Amino acid sequence: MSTGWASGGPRSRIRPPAARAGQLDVGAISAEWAPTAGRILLGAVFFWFGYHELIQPGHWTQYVPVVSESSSLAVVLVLAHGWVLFVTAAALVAGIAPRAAAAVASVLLLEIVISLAVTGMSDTAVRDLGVLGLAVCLTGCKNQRLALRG
Amino acid sequence: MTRLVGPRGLSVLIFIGLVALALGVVGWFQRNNGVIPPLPNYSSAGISVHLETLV
Repeated sequence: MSTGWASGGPRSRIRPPAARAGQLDVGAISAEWAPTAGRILLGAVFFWFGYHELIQPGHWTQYVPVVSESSSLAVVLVLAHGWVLFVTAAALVAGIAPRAAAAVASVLLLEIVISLAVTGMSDTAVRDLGVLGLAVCLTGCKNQRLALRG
Repeated sequence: MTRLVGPRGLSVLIFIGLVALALGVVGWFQRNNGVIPPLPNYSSAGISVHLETLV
């Protein structure tokens, strides 16, 4: 009994009409490049917050839970957080282990959302919940474009 | 078995890590002197405050 396809195999059946005609396939292009765009934009957000946490930690110590915001420990914690954000941002933008970087970003954002939510749901917490969704989504994206390999 | 981060990626991460470390040292030394003004507040409450001033 033959198991071959009678009419050229499954790929020829699911090929969209636009690709057959040689036209621009917007759906395929967006599916290919959207994870890269999301990754770079998420990296830009991480760069901004990481840079400002590193340069002016005194303005971010109010977000450190439990620890007094005027203590040196709070400044050190903000600096460490900013360092992780900065390096994660570089990994996201350059595409260095992009899925692992997105997983780290998810953990960081989950920590941020929780620390903001315990003080009451603010507009900042809700916004970060959406950014967390982007990071989680990127964690599952394989075969990303503009990734640094080797 | 492939490595998670290749040699080029590791070089980039180490370089960025050192840059971030240098920025952190700068931040540590100006943590209390107020050289940089505080960030502006972009909260969505701003528009309601603005509307209240118009009424």
